[in-house]
Amino acid sequence: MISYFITIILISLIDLLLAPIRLLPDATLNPNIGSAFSVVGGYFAVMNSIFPIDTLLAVLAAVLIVEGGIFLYKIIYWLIKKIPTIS
Amino acid sequence: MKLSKHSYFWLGLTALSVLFTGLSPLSASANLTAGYYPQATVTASVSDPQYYWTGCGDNGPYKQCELYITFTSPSSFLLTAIGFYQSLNTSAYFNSSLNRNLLYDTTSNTVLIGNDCNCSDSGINSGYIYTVPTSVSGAYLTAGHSYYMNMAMFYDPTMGTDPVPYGSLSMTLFSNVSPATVSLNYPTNGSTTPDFSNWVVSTVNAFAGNLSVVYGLSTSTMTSSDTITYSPFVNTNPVAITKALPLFYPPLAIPVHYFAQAILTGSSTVLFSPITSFYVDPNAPAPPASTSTNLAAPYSTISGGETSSTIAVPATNCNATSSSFWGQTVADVQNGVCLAFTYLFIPNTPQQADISTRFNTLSGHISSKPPLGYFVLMKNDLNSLAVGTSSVVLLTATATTAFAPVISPIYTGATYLLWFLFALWLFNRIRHFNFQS
Repeated sequence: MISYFITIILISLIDLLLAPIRLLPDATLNPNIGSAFSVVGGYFAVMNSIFPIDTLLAVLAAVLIVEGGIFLYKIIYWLIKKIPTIS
Repeated sequence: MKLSKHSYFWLGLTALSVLFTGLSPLSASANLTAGYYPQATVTASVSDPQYYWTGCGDNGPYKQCELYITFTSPSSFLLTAIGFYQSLNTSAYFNSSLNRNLLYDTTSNTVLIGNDCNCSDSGINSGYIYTVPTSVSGAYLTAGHSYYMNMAMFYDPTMGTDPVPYGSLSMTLFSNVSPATVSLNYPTNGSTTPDFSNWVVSTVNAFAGNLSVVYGLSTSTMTSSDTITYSPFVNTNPVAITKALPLFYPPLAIPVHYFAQAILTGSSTVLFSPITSFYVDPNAPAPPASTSTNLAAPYSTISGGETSSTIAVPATNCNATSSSFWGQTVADVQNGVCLAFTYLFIPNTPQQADISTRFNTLSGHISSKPPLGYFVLMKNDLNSLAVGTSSVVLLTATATTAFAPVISPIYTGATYLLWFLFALWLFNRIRHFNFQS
């Protein structure tokens, strides 16, 4: 009961803060971007027979995950340092 | 020390509770155990239409008696022993040295029990129990059949001429098919159920009597009951017993722990089922079809409960019990506090679902609108970046086979090299990472 209402209040507060954003139209990308990735995928298929492109993509994905994690850590750390008395 | 009025009230209440606890069915007696149980006692006489003696004839110093058995109810016996005694002529006794105990089914022309036994005859004015040998595995007597038994040889030097009819020879049929039992089929032990209309009780070799289901919030307070008059020849098995009152649960419908027990009270024997523990939750699934066939429609209007909340799993942890009266009182308080804190701090299933829905809605607002929406879209497109398909073929199948000895080691080496470079990069990334910035 108590934890439920606290959570609902927090969600409602965030929802209220995001009210101006909700007025914006949905974000869309040019559909050519998506088709471009498909074309690149076709080139990868050609090259994959002599070089491990799939492994290269997996390694790049792992790099992105690590960098994303580091970025998130820095954001959280930055937010924490904004709390008074915490330096 | 002077006691206040309230103290006297609570002392009185406690004394009454102890009294009723002591008188509860739980402390009455235990269930029957396996063994021989008298199924029927009959008196054989020539006027008895079902069981009668044909009389005893002279056979030198002995007098041989014959027994015919027919019966209409019950439908069958598993005959494991027959006991009889004579009561009129005190000088008669049973002699075990002669061939006898031939039980013959004259309807189907089959011998049910062989003509020899290790009977232990008793003395004057008593009887014996003839136990069917285990090698025979008992004899089934079926209603409507006619049985003949060359049962006993009497030696009665004072008898003179044949006593026809001989008198009141009693015969008791015993059975140890299995002990009579009664059990609660619905609700099942440990189950969670919405409120229901009928208890379902099953019986095995049960006798006629009052069949009750007692129930309550603890094993020591099963004071509510529903009762029917039970007859194994009238009632179906399992039998449904209408529950007179709705089961209680508090507002917001935290599942309530109930205890129930079926009791069959006969003229001389009382049978108890094991105590069944179950939870009442208005949001639990309806009873399964196998049991609901005997159930009336569940209560549709039950007041005092929110129909959209349940705390099934945490509530099962609030289950302190004790065998003593005061211990159970403390356990009840513990359970109450546990249920209260569970109710206060653990969102129940509908609340969790509501929170999840609100979070998803919130996430949708963020992920579909600028500026984060663009990142989400790009991320999705990047996720689609993979080795696709192409109509262009760099190496044909023949060429691939031809170059395999060269390309395959390079391919494998490149794979290992890529992962090694990644590990090297990760190591250096972490080694030079400043966790304080």
